This record gives sequence, C-alpha cells and structure tokens, in this order.
Amino acid sequence: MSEKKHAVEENANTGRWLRGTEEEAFAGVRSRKEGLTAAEAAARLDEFGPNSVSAPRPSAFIELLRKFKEPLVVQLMVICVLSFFFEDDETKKLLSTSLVGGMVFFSVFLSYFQESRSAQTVAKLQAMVKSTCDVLRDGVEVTVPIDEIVPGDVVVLAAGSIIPADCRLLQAKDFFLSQSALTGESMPVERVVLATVPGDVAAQECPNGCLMGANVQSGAARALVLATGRATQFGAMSARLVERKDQTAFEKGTKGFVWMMIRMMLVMVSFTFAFSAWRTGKVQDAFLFALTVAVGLTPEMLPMILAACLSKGARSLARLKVVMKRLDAIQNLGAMDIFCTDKTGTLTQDHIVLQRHVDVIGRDSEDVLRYAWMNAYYQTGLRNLLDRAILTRTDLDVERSCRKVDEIPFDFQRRRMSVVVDHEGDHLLICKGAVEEILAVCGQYQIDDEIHTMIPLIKDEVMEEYRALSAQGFRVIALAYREFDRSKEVFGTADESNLVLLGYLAFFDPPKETAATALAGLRERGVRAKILTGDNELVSRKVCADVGMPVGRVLTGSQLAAMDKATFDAAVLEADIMARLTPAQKEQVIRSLKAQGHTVGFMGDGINDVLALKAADVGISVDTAVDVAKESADAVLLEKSLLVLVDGIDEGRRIFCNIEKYIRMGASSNFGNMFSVLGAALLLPFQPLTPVLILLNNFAYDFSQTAIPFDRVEKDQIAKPRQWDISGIRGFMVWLGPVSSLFDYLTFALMWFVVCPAACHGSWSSLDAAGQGKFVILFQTGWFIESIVTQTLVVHVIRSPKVPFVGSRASWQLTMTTLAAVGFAVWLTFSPWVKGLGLDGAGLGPVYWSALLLMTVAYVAIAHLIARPRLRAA
Amino acid sequence: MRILLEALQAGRLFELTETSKKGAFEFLGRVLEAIPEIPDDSGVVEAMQAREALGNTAIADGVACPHARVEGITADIYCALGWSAAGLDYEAGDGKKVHLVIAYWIPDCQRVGFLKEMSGLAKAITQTGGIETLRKCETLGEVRHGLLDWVSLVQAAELPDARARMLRLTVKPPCEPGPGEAREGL
Repeated sequence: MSEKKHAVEENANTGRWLRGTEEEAFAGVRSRKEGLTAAEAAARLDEFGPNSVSAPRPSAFIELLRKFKEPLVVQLMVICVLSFFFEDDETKKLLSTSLVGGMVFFSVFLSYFQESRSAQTVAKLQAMVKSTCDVLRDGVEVTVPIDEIVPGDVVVLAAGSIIPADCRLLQAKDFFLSQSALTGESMPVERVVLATVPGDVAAQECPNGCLMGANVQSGAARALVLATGRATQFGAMSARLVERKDQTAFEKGTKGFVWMMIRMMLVMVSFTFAFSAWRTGKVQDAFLFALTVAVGLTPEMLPMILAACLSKGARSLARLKVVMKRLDAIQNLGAMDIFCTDKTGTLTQDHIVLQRHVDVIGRDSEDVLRYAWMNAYYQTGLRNLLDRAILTRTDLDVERSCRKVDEIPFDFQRRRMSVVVDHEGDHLLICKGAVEEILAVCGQYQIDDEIHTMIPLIKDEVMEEYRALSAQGFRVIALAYREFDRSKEVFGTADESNLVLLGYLAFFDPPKETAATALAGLRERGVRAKILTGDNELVSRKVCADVGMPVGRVLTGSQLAAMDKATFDAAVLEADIMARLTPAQKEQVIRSLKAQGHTVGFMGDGINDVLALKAADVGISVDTAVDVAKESADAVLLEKSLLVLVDGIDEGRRIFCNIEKYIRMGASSNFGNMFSVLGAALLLPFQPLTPVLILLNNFAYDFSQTAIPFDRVEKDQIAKPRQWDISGIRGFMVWLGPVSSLFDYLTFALMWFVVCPAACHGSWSSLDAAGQGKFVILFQTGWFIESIVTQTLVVHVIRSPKVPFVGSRASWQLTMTTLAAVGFAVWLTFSPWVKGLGLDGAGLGPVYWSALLLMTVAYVAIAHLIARPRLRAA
Repeated sequence: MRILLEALQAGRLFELTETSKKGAFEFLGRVLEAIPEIPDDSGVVEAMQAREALGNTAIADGVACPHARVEGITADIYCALGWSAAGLDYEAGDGKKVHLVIAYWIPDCQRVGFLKEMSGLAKAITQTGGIETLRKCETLGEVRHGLLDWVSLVQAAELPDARARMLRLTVKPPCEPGPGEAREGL
C-alpha cells in the first residue's frame, strides 16, 4: 500500500454511507434514485459550494511575503543590511541602502505582479477547458460542469469519465477504476454494487465506492454523490499534502543557471574582498565593495523576466487557441523535436462516416448494419465516434421487439464489446471490435443465411477482405454474434466465444485539408512527426500517404513487444508509424524517446492516450477530448488542428528565445565584470567604482532588460527546436565575457594614462591628495559610463545573429529601455547629484567621449563577430 | 464438395513426384493452366505463392489447399489434386507432413463457393477420420475412391451447420409520417 493511501483520512459521513444500506445513503444526502431536481441542485450548490478541491488562493500580502524567500532576494536583503551597518558615510549609507532596497522592491514587486498576472491568465484559460459530467436532474440525463455537482446527485459514469466526487455505486457493470491519483497504484480495480459493507472497511477500500480523483477505465455505472469538493477524501488529502511534481527540464535548467551564477558570485566576492583589502589596506571599504560587487553579479531580474515571458506567451497562445494549463510547458512546446500523435482528428477530419457494411467476403449486407446498430444503440459505455456513425446511418424500431438483457463493456485488453438483446425468443449476444480480437473468438461464419465452421484457412481468407478495406483507408471493425437460450440472463467475457462472424463495418475519416501543410510546417521546424495509433498499419499508411507524410519504417505493437530494450529504442526512433499499440505501449514509446534525449510531445484525445499524455514532455489534448485526457494534458487546443499546434510551437520558441537573451546577457556580462573587477582590485590603488555607483549601474542595467519579453524574434531563430543548452550559455560566458573585460581594461588604460592625467595635470603618483581625489572621481565616472553603455547595448548583439541595428532591430520597447539606461547614466554624471555620488561627467573631455564612441562601436562589432556563429548554432 | 468431385471426374488427381512445396505448386499450377477455361499465362503459380506468403494454406491433418485468386474473370472454380504418399514438408501449423494438395483457381466472383467448399472439406476431414484412411491406399485409384467417399459423406451430411435467422426489424418512420406513407422494411 502506498504512502498516499495511508494519508487519506477517513471522512466519517462518506464511510458511513458507503458501509450502510442504500436507503441510509439516500437519506443521508437527502436524495432518491431519480436524482435531484434542478432547483434542489441549485440550492445545494449554494449550500455546499462548488465541487472543487483547489485551496483558496492565499492573500496578496502572503503571496508577496513568499517572494522574499527567493534566494536572489535573500541575498540582496543581506547585502542591504550589511551595507547599512558597515557604511560610515551617512549619505552613502542612505543612498546604497535605498538603492539595494529599491532593487529588492523592483525584483519582488515586478515578479509578484507578473506572476499573479500569469496565475490569472492560467485560471482564465483553464476555465475555457471545463470538464463535464453526466448527471440526472429532474429525472433526465444532462451534462453539467463537474464543479456544479452537488451531494445527492446521481451521476452517470462510463469509460473515460472522471469520478467527479465521492460516490456510492447504485448500478455497475464491469466497472473498473484507475485510482492512481489517489493511491499511486496503477492497476485498475473493480467496483461493484453491494447492499452493505463490513464496518471495519475504510471508505477508500469499500468495493461499492468510487472516490474523486479516480477515473473510469471500463464499464458503466450510476452512482450517488455523497460528498463534493474539499469534503471528499481527495479534497482532504489535497489540503494536507503539498503537491509535489517532477521538475520539468525548464525548471531544472533555470535552477542550474541561478546556482551557477550564485557560485560564481561567491568565488568572485571572496577574491575581490581579498585583493581590494590587500591593495587599499581598508578592510571595511573592501568588504562593502565586495558586497556591492555581489549585487552586481546577481541576476535578480530572472524571476520577473521568466514570469513576464511565460505569461505573455500564454496570452499569445490563447489568442492562437492553445490553452496552456502549465506555464512552464510553453518552453517544452518550443523545445519539442518529436511530435507523436494518434492520426484521428489530427491528420483526419475526425468526422467519421460509416461508409460500408459488408459480409465476410465484402458484399454489402443490411444484416451487418442492423446488428451493428443494435450493438451501438444498446451500449451504455463510452459511446465513441464509430457508434455515432452507425447510429446516424439508420434508426430501427426496436422498442416493441427487443429488450436489452446485458452488456459486456469495452476494454483495451479485449478491444471488443458486446450487448445482449432479447429478440424473438433468444438472447442474442452482438459483439463488435477490432478485427483480430473478434476473429479470435469466432468458431463459425455466416455467408448469406448459412452458418459454416470457421477454420484457420477461412480466417485468412476473410481477413483478406479486412486488409483490402484497410488499404483503401477505411477503419474496419468486425461484427459477430451468438444466440443463447433465454434462461441465461447474466453474461461475461467468457461468453464471447464460438461466435458467428457476420461481417465488417468500414468507416472513413477523410484526411484534413490542412494536415499536409501542417506536417510540412512541422518538418520545416525540425519536428519529426510519428503516428502512435491503436488502429492498423494499413489504414495509417494510407492516411499518411494522403497527407504527404513520408513513411519509412512501420511497426506494430506485437513487433515492439517482442523486442529487447536496445532494439526497441532504436526501432521506435526510426519508425514513422507505430500501429496497433496498447495504451501502455504508447507510454513506453514516449518514455523511450525521452530517455534518448528527445523532447517529446504527444497529442491524444482518448482514454487510451492518458498514459502517453502524462509521460510526454508536453501532453497536448483537445477541447473535445474525454475529460481524463484533458486533465492529464499540459496544453489544450481549442481547435483540433495541427496548424494551431505549429503556431504554438513558434510561440513557445519565441518565448524561450527571449528568456535566453536575458540569460546570455547576464552570464556573459557578469563573467566579464568578474575579470574587470578582479583586475581593478589587483592593479589599482583605489576601487574602480564606489559601491553606490555599482548599485546604480546595476539598477540601470536591470531597468534596460525589463522590455526583453516584448522583443522581436527572428524567423530563423525559431526554425528549429530550442532546448536548454547550458554549454551554449557557458560558451557565451567564456568568449563574450573576456571581450567585455578587454574593453573595460582599455577604459582603465585610457582613464589612467590619458584622460585623468590630462584633466588632473599629472600622473597618479605625482598628484597630492586633492589631485588624487579628482583623479579617482574622473576614473570612476569614465568606467561607470563605459560599463553601462557596453553592458546594456550588448543585448542588441546577442539578440540575433544578424548585424545589430541594421540587419535586425529590437522591438521599440527594448530599444527605448536600453537608450533610456544609457541616457540616464550620462545624465547622472552631469546632474546636480554629481557631488553626492562622486561623478564628474563634465571633466571627462572630448578625448574620452570620442574614445567611448570608438570603443562602443568596436565592442559591438567584435561582440557581434564572436556571438554570430554561436547564435547561428543555437 | 462439387468442385472436388468435378476434378476427380475430370481426372485431375495426380501422384506428386515432387517432394517440395514449391515443386508441388509448379506441377499443379501447370495442370490448372492446362484447363481450357483458364486463360493462358494467368500466373497461377505466382498467385498461389503470393497467397501462401500471407498464411499457410495447410488446413489440417495432412491436407493443404493452395489457391490462386483472380480478378475480373467470370468463370467457374477449378481445382487439381496432388497425392504424395511420402508427404511434403509444407510447414503446416500442426507440424504434420501434407499428403493431399488441392490447388484451386478461384475467380473473384466465386469466393462464396470457395469458402463453402473449404467448410465442406473441413467437415469431411473431421467426419471421415481424415488423411489416415487415405494413407492406407496403395494406388492412386484407391485414393480417388477414398476422396469420392469424402464427397459422398459430406453430401449426405447436413450443410450448412445452421441457418441464420434474419432480424425482423423495421426502420422507424419519420417523426410525422404523412397518410399513406409506407414504412421501409428491412
């Protein structure tokens, strides 16, 4: 028994009503067999609230406080407190403390604002994809949103349904549940109707109960709702347990980057402190300087940039009719390089028409249609598109001459289902399903009105008809029957034997007109499509040919089942079509592809797709999918079209591309600064920037990047899957960092040997204390401006492999924020604050400004030459 | 069993000197192609081999029925029989050697007849004790007599196994049928 199972707390009422008699349960929830009236349900919705387990969102204040727990914010706050206690100069103390405080505020509030906006976006989007449930209201079966289910409702359940609340079974037929969300156990369990249950059985173990969080694997049932929302077992568990889920590749990548930067910062700060203290002899000043350098190296805007990018992406995707249920799946959508899908509804129109009903040798047969219609009409399980197609083909008058006796529901092991009908003195079992599965239980076949013995050679012969229909692109199912004596009332799967094969039903689902364009779009974007289907390989091959999808290797489920792991891995990677797969095999294929380093998307809409949807990096479903499939998906397409998905992939890549810009900028400029500051601490007899100036520099730099989420992305940058590439980021650090440092050293040399001696009328060693003071101010002003200019403008270099400003232009927002940051820095050196900050822009002279211009142009040019091949390779 | 009977009456039962499946196909294919009603160059052997690739045509107990299906021809079914006292290695599902090979030429329009012939043959094998009675025969003539006994037995037996009942259901009339509108019967 899993830990989760132990964690489920007994809900006293639910347990009592499950164990007691049916009458006690009805009395307990004030209901009856026909369910509630609409008015009663409305009143109870007011009384009990919506059927939802999600905890109320914490207040804005609590959410804001939580932001202060982020490691980057904690680091800034520690620095803020330390600078307050260690800074002697009151003006500087006030200024540096307010600047770091401002940064904390900037980071915390902006990221809070963005994240709450994202949460609202997700909530709004999720509301667009509502799960529903069939329920009796006023004695009639109606479909209502799951959150409107109330205690006392009688719900109607079939394969694919989500159990909407804690219920007691009133009627059940071969009813199997998957309770993995509740118990962690993946094997389905059977639930049956029982008069009473012994008193010592826990609610979750009651064989007549089905609890919220489970879903129906097979069978059909009616159940009385005992508890809803947070009063359910699942609700109680959700409230107590902190929901833990596996980290996505995106989260791992982000975390890895943050810790890489923090480690780098700690090393850097230790060395800076040591060198500066040794060179200047002022331990306290060196400590403060090292602390502010730490601030400069902190990517404190990362949470805000991430939240803003993902939230913007979710809104853009919603406009494209792609609802993201998990924001971080957006990046996976862009990173996806293998897209697996069932062919129904993606390559085909999902508008299935019953095209032919034929006997065993392919002659049109009205008998086949009549038997098929009765099977579809009387079945109460998951009524799929094939059933609907049969039912729309004709409408038989069965009320007077037929009575339903029993039903053997569909499941994915048998891949067939039967109904038993009382017709003209016999009990007629009518079975339809996958051709191989039906043939396996047929001992006879019917031709005209004659019934003959089936032998293997004849099976092969009649299979030929099936192959011929499949090769024409039809989806084919077989139909068989058997007559039983009227005395037999209860039927099970064992009765599906020695059946008479009657014929085949051929359905046609025409290929979508847009499928070929969409598949070509996926290919252009470096995404390989694979078909994972339960259908046969002949139909799949035909559909793929119709939509121009190149088909190399085709594999079947039985071939895959016979392979060892290494062969399996190689085969699934190579194959374009994998047909006749069980749900577990679909999942196995996805996991194998993931383990081979691919980012795998899976699109499915049926109960048989749920395992694969959960296993995929991005599970994609559609609005018309069964509830459990929608619940398991990361993204839901409001239009069942691959074209929408192609747009979604582009948007996912655009978003990640912008996130990468911040990360590349942060990594490369910080690495460069590390060299510059270390060198300065070692070479100069004074600090190259005061702590306050470092903070101001950082503040301007942060501000310039707030527009990154709004930046344009070049078309060729989204031409192939974009995945987290830490080695690529390291490449930017190792190459661009030293170039940035090189220009810092050039500035140091310019200031030390040319600008400062010229303005102060002498070299450092020849000056008195006042002269040296002026020398330091000019030196710091010069580097302050150069540092901001190069740091902020570099975003225009690393945003595209094209020539900055000429070949590719940033969005107006990003251009404005970077220019504003540069303008602010220059203005500051001339402003009335100059004296307080120790800046003197006016004293720099024309040599400096000319050199700055030249250096900026040279820096941008060299950085572009270095970045271009890396950006093209990215 | 009409087709088998006609073949026996037309003298299309031969001793197989070939010991391989391929050889038996080629021999019986040539016999079938020699029948005047079967068009020349109709590729009987190739068609039989193609069908064999889809699934073994040994039906059980030492009997195999390779067959060539042809499309677009309106004609009767024909068959030719080969007897191998030693038995052929036919790779049959039951692992037994095949002694009797009945090769059929089936125009597509005769598939019903072929399926019925196969069901009859299966019944004959079950009811007569199968190939064991034929294996005791010392001459081809005795084999022919044995096969004629099969035909007689099946013809005397009731075929088919059962008759299916038609479902007597009618299509529902439109919501408001006009006076005099007849229901469509099925």
